[in-house]
Amino acid sequence: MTAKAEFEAKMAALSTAFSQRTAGDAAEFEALGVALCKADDQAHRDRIQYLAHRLAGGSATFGLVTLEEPASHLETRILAQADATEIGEGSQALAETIRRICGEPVTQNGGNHAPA
Amino acid sequence: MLRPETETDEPAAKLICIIDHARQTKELADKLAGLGYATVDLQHDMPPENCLAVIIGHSIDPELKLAQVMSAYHPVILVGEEQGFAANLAAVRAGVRASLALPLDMVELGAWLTSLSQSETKPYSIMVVDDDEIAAQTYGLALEAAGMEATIVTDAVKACDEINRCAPDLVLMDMNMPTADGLEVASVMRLSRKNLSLPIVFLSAEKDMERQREARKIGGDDFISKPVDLEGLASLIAIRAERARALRQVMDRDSLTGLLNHARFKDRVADELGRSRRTGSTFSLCLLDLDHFKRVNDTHGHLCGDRVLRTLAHSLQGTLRQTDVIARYGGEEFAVLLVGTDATRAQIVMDKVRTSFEQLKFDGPETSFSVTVSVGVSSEQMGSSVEGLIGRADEALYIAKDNGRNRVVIAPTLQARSA
Repeated sequence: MTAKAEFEAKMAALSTAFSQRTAGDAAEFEALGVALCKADDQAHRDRIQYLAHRLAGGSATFGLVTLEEPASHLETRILAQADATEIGEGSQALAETIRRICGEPVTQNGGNHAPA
Repeated sequence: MLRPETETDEPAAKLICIIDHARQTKELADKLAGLGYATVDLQHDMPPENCLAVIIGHSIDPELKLAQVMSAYHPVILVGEEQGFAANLAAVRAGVRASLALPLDMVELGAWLTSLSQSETKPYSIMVVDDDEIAAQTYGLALEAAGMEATIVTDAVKACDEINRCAPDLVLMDMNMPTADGLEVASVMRLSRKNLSLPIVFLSAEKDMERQREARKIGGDDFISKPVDLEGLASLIAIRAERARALRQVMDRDSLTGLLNHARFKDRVADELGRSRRTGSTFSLCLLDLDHFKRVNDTHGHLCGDRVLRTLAHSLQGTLRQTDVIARYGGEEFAVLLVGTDATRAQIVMDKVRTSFEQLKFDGPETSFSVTVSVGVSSEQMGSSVEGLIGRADEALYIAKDNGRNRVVIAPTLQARSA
């Protein structure tokens, strides 16, 4: 394998890993969003901020460019101390967008990784 | 073929091939032996594969035909009277790497050979600190694709230990990590004096300009904003790392000899002592002092004295392995750390340096002269601190001086000292 082909193969594997992890994050955005709509909780805010930050930072690098803006927006709103309902709903909406872009996370049975 | 060196081997002599008339070959071989190199008189054969350079006398190869053939396989150094532009141009066209005038300047020859043996410059070593493993691996991959070496650290708490282990040229760090904030990790790194100049480049999607200002305050050298353009990342990091190495060269090295300076040498001893405590590895510390150096300066002048200092530096570089640490400790004193080498073997190695160096003839303004060197040796089990080990080597050096100079002495054991 040439160095270039090896680089591309490794990059492709990392892209797949990022995409699968992001697909897995959707469930957490969803659950945290629902919880935050019921009651404000700093730990939930922190976790959503972390996930959104990670997603905003990596999505464009891995070709999921449409996720960058909503993830970055959600992070900005958390930093701005927006109210719990706004963040909760934003988190659920981001979960929905992720599912649309990345599909469901790959399960042990194979799952569905194709975009919806 | 010489065996590949390991840490526990004695340094294998670096080999230089000579093609010249018999008398010149003999003179050159003597000079090279003083600089720590082994030589082969190459009349009809091709040079062995492990030869560091081929030195060709211009008078034996006026058409540069031999030079042309040899330069395809080995660096060629041309030695001769002809040094004009036309002669040098012909040399360049024949692939000659260096052209030295006669009479041969030992300092210049030593400098060329040192640079040839160190010409395989190490790739830049970059430490990537990011808790997001996928991101960290990706940055690492991009850096490696651009010819750098990347060490990935996903647990920020371990970043400082890793710096000590892999001594990177630059740290690329995510600013926002949940276990430890990037700014805090950078501040912890900066607590160690030797990391004060280590460049830190932050990866940041920070919208907060205040945080960027804070990062600059603690010595964040640059910011790369996320999302990261991988090609841009690699080229920016390579430029930063190159500059950091150049600056460190100035800060860490003695300007006359190019050897490590006193402070950095002690840092390296501390690192090696730590490694020895953890892994049980052996090392020796040698202090060398030129005998009656003041007399050299007084009799032959300071310029001549400087040439002696630089020649001893080249002689150490020629004899020792790349893994050994060589420093100018101050004035006419040099220090050497021999890794994986106990005191007895260190004594043998240093004796080789001593005996070759005393053979060298220096040309003073009026007379030629030679200089000897005294050496004191201690090893890792002789002290628990850097100062202690240096003190023991210094003690041995004093004994060497007291016993008539021009010798290598191992520090006496504590029992022998108190007896």
